[in-house]
This record gives sequence, C-alpha cells and structure tokens, in this order.
Amino acid sequence: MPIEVTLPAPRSSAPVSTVPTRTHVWRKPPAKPVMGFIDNTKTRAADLMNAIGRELTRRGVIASHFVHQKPDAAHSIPPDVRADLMARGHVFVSGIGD
Amino acid sequence: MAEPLRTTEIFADYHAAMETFIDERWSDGLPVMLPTPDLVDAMIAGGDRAGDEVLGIVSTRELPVHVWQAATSAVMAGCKPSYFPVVLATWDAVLAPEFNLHTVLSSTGGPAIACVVSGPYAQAIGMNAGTGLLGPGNRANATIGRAIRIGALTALKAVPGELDYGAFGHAGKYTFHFPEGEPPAGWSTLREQKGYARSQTTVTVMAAEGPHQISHRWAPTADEYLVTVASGMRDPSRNGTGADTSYILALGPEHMGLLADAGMTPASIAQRLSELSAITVEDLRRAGINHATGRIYYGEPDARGLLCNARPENILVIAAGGPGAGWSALIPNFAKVSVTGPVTREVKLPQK
Repeated sequence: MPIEVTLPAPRSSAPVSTVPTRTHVWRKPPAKPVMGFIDNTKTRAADLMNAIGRELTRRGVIASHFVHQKPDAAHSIPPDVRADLMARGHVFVSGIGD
Repeated sequence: MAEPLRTTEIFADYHAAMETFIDERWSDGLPVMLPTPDLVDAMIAGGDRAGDEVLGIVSTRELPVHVWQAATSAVMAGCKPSYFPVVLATWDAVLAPEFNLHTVLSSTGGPAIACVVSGPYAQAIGMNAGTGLLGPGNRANATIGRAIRIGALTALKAVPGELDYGAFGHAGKYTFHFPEGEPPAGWSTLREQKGYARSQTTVTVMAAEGPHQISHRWAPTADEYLVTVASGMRDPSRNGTGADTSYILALGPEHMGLLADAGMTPASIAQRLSELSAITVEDLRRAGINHATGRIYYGEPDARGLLCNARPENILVIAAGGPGAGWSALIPNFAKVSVTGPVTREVKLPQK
C-alpha cells in the first residue's frame, strides 16, 4: 500500500543548488602567490606547515608563506581574522587534522 | 543559505520507504518510525512553536534547524508528541554558541550529546530515573536522545565519514538522555543550581564520552568514596583530564545516602571533587604524556604545581540510577570546557 512520508532531508539524488551561499570576492592570484597556513594547534602542525611553505618557496611555486595559529582547534576563524588573512595572502591551506 | 523545504514523497509501500531512509543515511542504522505528514503535524502541535520557525543555525556549516525538521526526526526516533517540548529544549541548548555544536558533531573525539532532564515534566512523560537509567527499555529516555541524533544526521549532515569524523564514537551517540532523580531532603536539584525554580523543568547538555561506572561496595566513608570518584576523574588517558573539563556524576542511592548522611550537598561534593581530582605534570608523565608537547592544550600548572581537572561549577552532581551494591556513573566531557561546556535551557510547554 502506498505511503506518503515527509523527507527529513533532500534526497541524495536531488540537484544541488549552484547559488552561492556566501558573497565571494574572487581575485586572480599572482603567478607566485603568498600562501597562508592555518595552524589549529595540533602537535607540530606549525613545523609541518613551515617545512611545506619553505619547500614551495624554494621550488618557486609561491612567493612566500606565513602561518596563522588559531587559539584552539575547536573554533572557526572569526570574520575579522579571516579578512585580515585574506589581506595578507592569496591561497590558504586549512583543515589540518590531528 | 538555501532553506530546506518541507516536502513529502509517496513510496510504493512501508518497506520501500524504510529501505530508502536507511540507504539515504537518514537513520542511525536502526529502523525508524516513518514520518507521515499527520505524525509530523501532531509532533509539532506537541510543542510551543510553529513548524517553519528556525531553532538556530549551526555556524561554519551554516545549516539551520527548523521546528519541522526537529519534529520529523522526533517522529522517526519514536517520540510521542508529549516528549517534543523536551526535544525542543534540547535543540535550544545544543544550538547555543557556547555548546559549539559544529565541533561536537564533527570532532575526531566522537562525543555523544548527554542530557540531564531535571524537573517534574520528566516524570510526567514517564522518563526513568531509576534502575536502568542509561538503558535500555524506557521509551522516553531512549527516543528523546535519539531524536536529536537523527536530527543531526539529517538536518545537519552529521553523517559518519562525511561531516562526522568521530574516530570511534560510542553507544551514547544513539541516545543519551536521562532524568535527574529525586534528591534527598536539603539538596538542591540541578535546575535550581542553574538558577531555575524547582517547579520548572530544564535540560542540561554536555558533549560526553561514554559513562564510567564507579564501583565502591566496601563501606567507605564519604571522603573515601569521593577519593574513589576522583581517581576516575584523574585518569590521564582521557582527553579532558587535567585540561579544565566538566563531568556529570550520577549518584546511585547507596552513594547518595552515604554523602547526604555525612552532611554533604551537591555543592560541597563538587568542591571536594575539584580539589581531589587535580593532577600534576608528573601524573601525566607517569601515564606516558609529555606535558611540554601538549602545553597549548593543558595550560600551565598553578603555583602548587597542579593542573585543574574541573572547577566545582563544572562538576554536575545529580541523584539518579537504581539500587545495587554501590554504583554511580561518572560521565566526562570529551574535551575542555573552552571547546564545549554544559548548557542548560528551560523546557517550555505549549499553551493549551
């Protein structure tokens, strides 16, 4: 017997909206961008990021790098800090796990 | 932000619908009550808000939770409409910024959402505060917590391996709601400690590891028993130990009676446990933990060389659980309170 049911979420097969959910400010990065790394305070994260940044600079992929350390891993970067980072760099690496 | 639309679909039969819900990962892995529109409407009517009202928005993932979504997941969990005020209050609590729901639902630490329901409405809807407190067998205890988890899976996409990266998780992620029992004379209830009237009902949520059963069956004094509890709190292998964390301590009847007869109260118990549970850098080292490596997380010891395990206000002492040989339940926060702390909200009943 057919049954009508409320869907708790869109079906996985449903088309995904292409409407941006944020207002993006797109910038074309320079040939050698400045790369920013987000250090989430996990052990030796900064060591790894600095090593990667130095190597990418040595290879001429980026102009330079910097590492921004968050106060802890559990909170996202607030809008004012995000704006400051975007003023300092062109591409960013974040979401570093444990 | 794209608003989730309340839609329905007609399935060939009950079985086809059930299999779809499982395949779409809208379930916690167990069969669900199918949320037919009439059941969802009846659930919404059990609360005090309109179906299209937004309960809150989880930052970072920028996803809202609507009342109709909370109601749909409550039906799926098996709740009665009379449970819905507690479901809504729990959503109010977990959506508070200080609870940090985005992190709680995604952390590799894999916490559950533990919830103490304190007040007369818990008894009115038949919640069980005695034998089998943490399950199984009581519909209200089991389904209210399950409603929150199913809502997280569906409305907030907290699907394991997608936005939920809990490395292990635990059984509390299926459900972890339980009521406070009747305290002894002279003791304040948890809701009163949080500033509410005894006649009100509240929920207090905490991002939790699994419960640790405290055993003391050897005729202890009150302080000997608290030393035992503190020894469980001082376990350095847990993520929050020594890092200013929080705990729920559910005192079984024997232990509650021991402490009450000694003239102790929830406040003095919490104070004493805070003192007894502090640890040192040497305690960490003996457990194989190098404080220097984890300095950002643990912070610095105080002038006495102690790392604060939990402040008294973050040790929530309640009377709950069944009689036995001498058991209590210690439920730790999975992290430090600066990551996520306990949050209390009132259960609001619909105006009839």
